[in-house]
Amino acid sequence: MNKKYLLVDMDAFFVSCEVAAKPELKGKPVGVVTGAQRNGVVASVSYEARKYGVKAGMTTFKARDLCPKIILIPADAIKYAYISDSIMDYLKEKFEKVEVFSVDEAFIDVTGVKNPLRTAKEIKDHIKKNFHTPLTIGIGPSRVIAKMACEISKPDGLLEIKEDEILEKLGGLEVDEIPGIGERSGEALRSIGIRTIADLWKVDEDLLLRIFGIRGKWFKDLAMGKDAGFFTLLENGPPLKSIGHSETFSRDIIDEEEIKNYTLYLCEKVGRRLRKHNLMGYGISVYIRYYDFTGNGISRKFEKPIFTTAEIYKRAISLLEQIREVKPARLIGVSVFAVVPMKMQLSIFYDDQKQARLEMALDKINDIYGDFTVRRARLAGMQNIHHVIPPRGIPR
Amino acid sequence: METLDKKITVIARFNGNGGTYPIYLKFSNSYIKLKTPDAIWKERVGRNFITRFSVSDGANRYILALNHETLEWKLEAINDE
Repeated sequence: MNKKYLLVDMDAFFVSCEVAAKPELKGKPVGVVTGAQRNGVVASVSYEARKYGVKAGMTTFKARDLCPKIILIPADAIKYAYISDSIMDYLKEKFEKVEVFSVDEAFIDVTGVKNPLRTAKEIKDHIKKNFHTPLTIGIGPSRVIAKMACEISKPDGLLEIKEDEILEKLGGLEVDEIPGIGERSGEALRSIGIRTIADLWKVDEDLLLRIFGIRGKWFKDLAMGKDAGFFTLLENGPPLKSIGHSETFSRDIIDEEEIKNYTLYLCEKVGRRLRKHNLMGYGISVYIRYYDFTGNGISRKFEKPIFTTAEIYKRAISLLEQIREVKPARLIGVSVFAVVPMKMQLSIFYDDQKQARLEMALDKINDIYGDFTVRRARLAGMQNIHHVIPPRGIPR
Repeated sequence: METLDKKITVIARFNGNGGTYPIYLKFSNSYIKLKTPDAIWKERVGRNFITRFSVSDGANRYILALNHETLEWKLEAINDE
């Protein structure tokens, strides 16, 4: 049976949640900001603000410069996570095969459904009525085509692209508009005369294989509407290569103790996710970005794997001390890489069993009562500690 | 939006599927009729939960918070629509 997928994609999701909570914002240029109002980053932008050139990832300064009337709202991660979970719960209740792709996107396998367009309309109506958040649904014979159908029909769109319509409806798109083909790969393809999806259809697969290796085949497969590369992760489960967290501070920080606090906070988040997935890592990388947007990063590998917050923090701080310049910082990131399943017994490989058991016991308490309910003394005074959207879907 | 964080009296409806909605808000000695909430979100605070409702009476917007443990309502914020 021919496969059929829907992609449910919420339009400007964080902004839509804010507009749902305050309908008086409807039709106005709105941005949701992470970090401080003054030097924060715009995480989500309403379509009204996009007309002025405001994009997600811009600083609030730049956003205000482009659109002086923009209404900037501090991000409310709890609100977005709750609304996202409620929408995903509705989809999971209604359909058997739902793949949560991110906080605001989910693929639904509707193979065998008689009228997927009608099903998509029902989903749209339900979400709009109950959550007051606009959305776009793309339908296609693969996830990649459903995603592209979604992208070209946003906002508030609904589009089905059938297998025999791929070239006609998508052939003119630039190659880097294919999800999974980034800007650099797009440039590389353009440099050999391949600009559009139609060009990728025509080009010989062997030539792509010679130039780009296995990725060359992915490019061709994606253009032809076959799920390849990244999209196959949804079939097989994500191969977790690293687990990391970063945070832009609400203000620039120079105080060493405060930097240590934030680093510990990030290490705790990384450690907790590692332990949740029963993983441990053989390497750690740390990144710091300063107020002037310069930054330093460093990575190290070890012989013994790590997974406790105490160990991650000890190593992260040691690396941070090696690279940190004496100027105000605006972002720190910590990532544990080269992760492998934690299959061995603790007693065999881990020296500090007491620490490991303590942290696992804390995890159990926090699983029941919420993250950071029990926390290290260093984090006792930290405010807004929950205000990060927990990763959903597959890590990207 | 003006932040208040003030305890208030609310008349709420409990529906069959476990949902709760504020329908009247007591202000001074009168009851203000509220429309259906535009957005609802829930926060876990330790073993407790707080559910927040963004709700309007047609003239003002209120953010109401229901404490699941104490069943107290708070008016957290208010503004003109």
